Amino acid sequence: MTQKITIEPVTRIEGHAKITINMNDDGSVDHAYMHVNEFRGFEKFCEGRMIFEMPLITPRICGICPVSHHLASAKAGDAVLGVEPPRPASLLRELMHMGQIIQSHGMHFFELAGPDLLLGFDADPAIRNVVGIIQANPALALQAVNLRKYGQEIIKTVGGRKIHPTFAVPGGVNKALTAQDRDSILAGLDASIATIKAGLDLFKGWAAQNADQIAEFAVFPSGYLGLVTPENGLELYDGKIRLVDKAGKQLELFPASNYLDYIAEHVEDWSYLKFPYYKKMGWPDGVYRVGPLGRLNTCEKIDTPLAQEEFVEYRKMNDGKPIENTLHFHYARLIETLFAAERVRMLLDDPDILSKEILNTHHNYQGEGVGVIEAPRGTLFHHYWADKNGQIKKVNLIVATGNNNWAMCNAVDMVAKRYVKGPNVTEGMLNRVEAAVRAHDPCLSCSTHAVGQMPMVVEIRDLQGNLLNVVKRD
Amino acid sequence: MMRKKFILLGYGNPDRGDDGAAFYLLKELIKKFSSDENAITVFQETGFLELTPEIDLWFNLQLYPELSQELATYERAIFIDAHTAEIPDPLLIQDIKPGYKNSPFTHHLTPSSCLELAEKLYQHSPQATLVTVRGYAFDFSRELSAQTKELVNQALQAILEMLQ
Repeated sequence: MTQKITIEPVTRIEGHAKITINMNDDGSVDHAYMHVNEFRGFEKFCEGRMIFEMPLITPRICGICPVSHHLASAKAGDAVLGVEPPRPASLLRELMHMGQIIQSHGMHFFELAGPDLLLGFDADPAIRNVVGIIQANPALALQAVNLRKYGQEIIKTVGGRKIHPTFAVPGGVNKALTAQDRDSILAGLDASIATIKAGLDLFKGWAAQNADQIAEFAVFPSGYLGLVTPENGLELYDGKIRLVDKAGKQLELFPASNYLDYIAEHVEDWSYLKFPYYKKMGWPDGVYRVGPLGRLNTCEKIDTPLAQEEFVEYRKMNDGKPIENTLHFHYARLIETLFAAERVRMLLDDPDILSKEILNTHHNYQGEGVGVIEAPRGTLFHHYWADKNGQIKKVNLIVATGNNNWAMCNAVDMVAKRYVKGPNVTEGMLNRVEAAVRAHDPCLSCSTHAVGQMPMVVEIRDLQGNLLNVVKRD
Repeated sequence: MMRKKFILLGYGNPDRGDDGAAFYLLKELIKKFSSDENAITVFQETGFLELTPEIDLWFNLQLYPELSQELATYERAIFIDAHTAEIPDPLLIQDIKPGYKNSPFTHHLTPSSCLELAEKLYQHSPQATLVTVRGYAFDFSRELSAQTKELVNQALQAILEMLQ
């Protein structure tokens, strides 16, 4: 029997999340939970703001993916004002977004997740990081740093500012792209694609050697959700939302504005982060996954040649059926990075990319609007209600990581049960539990980065709730 | 290779109360050193300012890997941040060494990690100091709490001495 642990966060600033592992008397794991202790409050903060401020305010939610919030907010503003941005503006927004995907995914694989895979979960923590990769392959490590830099440079070049973007506004964007800027982005593209392909080779080589580990590490069915093109191709900027079941069969295809008809949020008293689910199937049957694994299970093809080739190979792993292995988030992430890089070229080759027709000021005021985008870590929803003066009355956000809340909790539980033994958690065991979380590339930082705020805390408790051990990872 | 003397790196979110302590401190530094009325605006817009021929200021929401390339071009680095109750000292000033750490939950890097990357990738990491002040309020606000503001003033004095 499992005792329910109620976690009372001491303060909101004592760490973003906590993992509790409940042990049976025989030293096996009864259940593990991942609790998010971060209180958000962002929705309330926005009430009373003006709609045109929102793309400026919302990037402050998260220092890791400000661009995703900036663009989703602008799209919600488009909908509230009933305005269609000119095509060149949409191209430019998407270009910025591809920069975000490249820098975020690139950093995650090479600097954050890659070391586990390439150096081993049980490797000495002193080298089980990007420094270990530098020692093993210094040229690749440098390429990886430059890949992230390249993505950031796209964002800065397109948006004109490195921090606090002001680029996207309801109705379009406020800065056109020059030919010189286009050429500077193009100049770095081939090297970036080469780095991404090197990453894919690295992962596939590791996967071939570690098939057993991949097969037993948090593999479970779920639904999958993501944006798609009209032909069900991978789509990261716009499109309709597609939801498929565990077999890959389409359950729903709907415009972003109707998301509340299909998605509800479940609450547990041990976490501040809610659990979105598919309404028609109810909780917990309606759980779904988003992000790279979710998106590559939701789409049926990728419209860029190199990424499509990788996608075909990727989906063969399970005979065309959805890929359920948590560790294949990393594989999917790299394929998406390749797609984003190829998409950068397509966008820059589009004759409209240099157009000065970047803002539509003709409004047809709706008062309510939803902006959805595929952030690096999953589907991001911004939903605004505004009065006739454009003042925000209500905001609803479903952040990307929130969609994967159930999946992360489930992965932690499965990995803890498989690898954690007894009250003494070894470093390797802890690392595997972390890896279950890390695979999802969660964004829980919520824009505060104060020193001392990064630790992951793992508490081991017996069935009576007594604390047996605490392990902290700073 | 000729290296510039100082880089002061502030990071945090100026819209989350005391998390913006570093930004506040660097603005105060600009007021002390610069007579250019646009200097703060430039710094806010770009996150970078050449304060003097020997001192550069840098600000961003977080530290990131490619920062290592810039760090390798300086002799001294002062990292400025806010901290939580996990650290007991209200004002902490300590020398830091290269040493990589990452978090399972965020892409944010530590100063030591950035130094390690500079050392390993570019064969030089600056002599570095971390100056961090206790934060008390991290809600959505652009104001510092009174306690943190006082600590920032103390930190500013300490940094001015380091820059002598």
